[in-house]
Amino acid sequence: MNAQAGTPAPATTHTSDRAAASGALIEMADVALTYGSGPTAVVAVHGATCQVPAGARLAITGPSGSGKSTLLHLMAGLERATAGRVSWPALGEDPLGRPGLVGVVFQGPSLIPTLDVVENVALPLVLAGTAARVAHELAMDALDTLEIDDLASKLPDELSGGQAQRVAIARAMATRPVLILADEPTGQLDRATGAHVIDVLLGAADLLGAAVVISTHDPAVSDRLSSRWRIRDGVLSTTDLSTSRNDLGESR
Amino acid sequence: MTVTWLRGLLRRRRGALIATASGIAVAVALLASLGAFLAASKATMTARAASGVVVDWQVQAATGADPTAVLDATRHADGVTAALPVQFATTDGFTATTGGTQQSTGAGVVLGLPADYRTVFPGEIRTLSGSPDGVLVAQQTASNLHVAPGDKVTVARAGLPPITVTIAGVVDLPYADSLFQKVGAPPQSQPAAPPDNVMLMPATTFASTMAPLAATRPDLLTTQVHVAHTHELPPDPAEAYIAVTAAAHNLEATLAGSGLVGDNLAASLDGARKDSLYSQVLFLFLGLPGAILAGILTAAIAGAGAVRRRREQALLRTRGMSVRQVVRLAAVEALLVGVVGGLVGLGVAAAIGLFAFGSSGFGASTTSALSWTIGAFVVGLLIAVIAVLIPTVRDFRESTVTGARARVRRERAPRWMRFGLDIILLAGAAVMFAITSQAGYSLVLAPEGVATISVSYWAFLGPALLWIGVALLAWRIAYLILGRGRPLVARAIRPLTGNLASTAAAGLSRQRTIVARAVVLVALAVSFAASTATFNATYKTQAEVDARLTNGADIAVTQSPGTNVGPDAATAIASVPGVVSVEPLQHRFAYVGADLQDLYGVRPATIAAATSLQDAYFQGGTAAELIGRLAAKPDSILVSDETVKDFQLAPGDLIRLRLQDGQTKKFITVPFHYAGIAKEFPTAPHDSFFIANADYIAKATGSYAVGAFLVDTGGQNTAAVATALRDKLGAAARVTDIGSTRSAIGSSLTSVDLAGLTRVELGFALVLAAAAGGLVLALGLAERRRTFAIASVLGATGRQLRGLVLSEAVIVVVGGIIAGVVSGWLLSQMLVTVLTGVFDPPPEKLSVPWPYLATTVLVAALAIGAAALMAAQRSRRPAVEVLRGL
Repeated sequence: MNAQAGTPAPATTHTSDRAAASGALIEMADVALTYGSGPTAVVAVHGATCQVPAGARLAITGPSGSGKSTLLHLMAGLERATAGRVSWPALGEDPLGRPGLVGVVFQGPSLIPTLDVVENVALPLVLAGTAARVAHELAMDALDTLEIDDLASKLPDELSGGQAQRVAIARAMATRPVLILADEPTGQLDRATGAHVIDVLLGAADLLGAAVVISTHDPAVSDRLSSRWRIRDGVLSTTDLSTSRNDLGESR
Repeated sequence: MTVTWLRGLLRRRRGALIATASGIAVAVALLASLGAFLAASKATMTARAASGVVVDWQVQAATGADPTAVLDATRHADGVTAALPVQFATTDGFTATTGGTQQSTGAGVVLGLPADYRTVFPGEIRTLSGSPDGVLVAQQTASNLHVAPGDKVTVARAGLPPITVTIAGVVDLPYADSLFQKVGAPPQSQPAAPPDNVMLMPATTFASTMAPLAATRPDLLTTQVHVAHTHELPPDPAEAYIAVTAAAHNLEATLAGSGLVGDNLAASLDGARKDSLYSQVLFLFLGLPGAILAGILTAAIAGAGAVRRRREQALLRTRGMSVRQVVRLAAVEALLVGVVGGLVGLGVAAAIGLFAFGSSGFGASTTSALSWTIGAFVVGLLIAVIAVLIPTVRDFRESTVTGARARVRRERAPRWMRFGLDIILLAGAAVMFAITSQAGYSLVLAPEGVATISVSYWAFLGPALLWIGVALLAWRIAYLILGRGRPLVARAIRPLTGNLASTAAAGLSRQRTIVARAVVLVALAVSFAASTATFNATYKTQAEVDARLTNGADIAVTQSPGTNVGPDAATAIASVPGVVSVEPLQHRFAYVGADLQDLYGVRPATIAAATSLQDAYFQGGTAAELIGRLAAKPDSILVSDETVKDFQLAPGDLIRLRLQDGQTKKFITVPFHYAGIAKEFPTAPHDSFFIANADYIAKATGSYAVGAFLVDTGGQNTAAVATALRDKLGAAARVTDIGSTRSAIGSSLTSVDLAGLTRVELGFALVLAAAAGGLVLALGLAERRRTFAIASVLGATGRQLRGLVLSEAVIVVVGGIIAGVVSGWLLSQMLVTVLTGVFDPPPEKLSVPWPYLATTVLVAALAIGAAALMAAQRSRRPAVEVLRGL
């Protein structure tokens, strides 16, 4: 099954050419990822084919253990597919090779505990080669944008869960990425805080003009996004649920 | 629940458990090995001290007592295996006519020995020539009388006509000092030297020749019972001494005044128990720090997982587990690592014992074996409790669940740092150093003849305070540099981290407690290795110096007393293959006032080349300067410190010595001028002696007679050359080589053979240095896998990750090694000062075993480097489970 988030496309055998032409950020062709081998092997993702275009607002939904995180890790280049091909036509190469183009927000606390908030936010910039002083200024800008500049000198363990996630978003946007991948960013937050974090995340993406892919099992989150794919037992369904639901509603 | 938890630990935390158990194993193995060394060396000392005694007791019958009753009572005393009567008669002198001349001696002693004496007490009498049976004369007597086997000697008898006997053989009496002791007199009242003129007779001959003196001069006759006592003694020399002394006292009580016991066995053990105490002290000084270090290391290894354990335990509590239940789980973990580590440690110690000491047992006797095994094992368990259980209990007392979940807390200077504990400890160490450096200070007090012996355990405070003080100071410095010197650290690590330098410095600063701890651990390990190796090397050097000082040179050829051999005899000695050079050394006796002292005549130009003269032997100038004074002014003389004090001498003062004239044999006065102090001199006794110019003495006395020839073999084949010299010179001279001297003085002060201990300690020090560096850093970095995974996800390249890890490693290596070397040097100085009684003579300077120290530093650096690179490699692509945790 082939699909392009946000703009449903018919199946084609020349997905890469088309993706490049259309400026697709991520392209997956029959991608699988299996952990282990033999009888104990676990197939986390199986036969996933899809494209994520620039500016997409995509939710990947599914129950726990369905393969959402693995799919996001594959998209971020953090894990390697055991079959099929993952490419980033608009980025040119593996995102890990060009830090800053893809921002990742994780479910749990992902700030470096020995660095304060502004150092955490500046870290990807510094890793990408930005001078420390400039990186610090850009990080402060990001914190200012998200209205959390008062947290700049705090250590991660001094933050609440919601504050930590907002800092993680600030870190993801500090490098002005073209794509933000968020793995259940509200998974450990209460509903109100979660809603605020999603507001911040989408606001930041709008500001940057970046595509956003969020994995979630929370309908309240997925409903905030224009496209929704579903994954179950490692099998990705790229039929846009938002469109299907609309179709279903209209046919009724 | 406990089983499930244990199973989980074994499955998920296997590495950390193995590391903790390994730390415990090292501590247990080190303690058990050193215990084995201590017990074995004590037993060796006892055995050696006992085997050096031939006649264990000399029971002298009191005047008027019945010698048969004394013999009978002695034979029935506990521990006595054989007892034989020996009769002593004093004679006015011996006379012999040989080669047309008559020679007479002064007063002498005639002994009457039972037929089986030489069988029961082998070694007491050594035949030099002639028959072992019949009438024998001592070598010096034979020399004085110019007699040989077959010649006749007349023995004067007070109040009776002299009798004439035929000499059957010439003998040497190696234990003459104890044989002719004044039984029952304290050591200071013993005769300075055994009698010059001695004749030994079979008991039957004695009965017919000397026994009749009983009728005229019974005061000239005494009877002793010579006793062989069992040598199955307690392994500890101190206990053996007490046992033997008590048995002797018991016999004296039984004899009820009819006999006194001259306890040669106890006298020998008396010296050994002092050595035994020193070996105990050495164990405490050199061994314990290693075991403590292994314990600290274990605590650090366990502490590397403290954050994770705190979080896990906080989770268990939030899930409803009581504090007691969580503590019980920690106790189970402590027990597991304690028992496994303890058992492995004992196994390793047994293997080490087999390799280093030739025995896998943990002590000389079953009791000590058991106590060392149990003791070391219990220490292992204690370390486990301190490292694993106590932190858990402390966490519960001092923190909340929320606090426990935190990964990094705001750094706050520890309380000891705020109170300046390190400075206080160092000041204490300085005070102790000053006290122990004072003249007259003695670490081990074992007064001769007194059962009570003591160690000044206060002396341990000096090195202990220094060790801890320097470690804490290193901690403070590392903590301050990482905290306040962040820009400095950033600049230092920039070559490794590039533009990440400030970020890396900030991270290091917030973990400065962990980094400072790693620095201190490396410093402690390096310091332990450096101080132990330096001390042992210095000890070895001094043992060699001692042997050389006692023997004089590679080989010493000592002329028999009374012989008159000139310097020309050196030619004969030099002709033996293997001899590089020969230096004649005059040996005379000189009276200063009423004191008789040894006088050594040296050739100033060549003496330094023949033997090793250390500056430490002299006072008031270097060895070269003082010997030079003897050359510049031939009537110069070097005297002992004691003589300077006794006679209130000032440089240039005139000293008149009375020396025997070579021709007239009468004492003449020879003037000398005091030129300096000699504390030690090759072949000279410890107490008091003179060193003067040989030519000046020869001219003044008209005799060039040489006392000894110092033979230099270039250190090659000394034993073989010595044998060749013995063959060439026969009984005329005594030939001793440095090898046999080394083993002979092995039973005196330097008896503790450190070779085994050194091998074990240096091995452990290397392991500890590697573990302190590598393991602690590796576990610390493993705990931060998550941090590296995040950095990797954020785009850190392999080079950047490597830079982050290596910057920490470099700080640990550089800081640890600098602090370790400084601390090791200070500790070595302190150890050598505090343990100065072990050295005889005291060392001139420390002997630093550079190759070993370089190896230690290299091993520590390599271990740290390897750990850092492996951590960096693993972080390059984060593990799935780490990513899942984000």
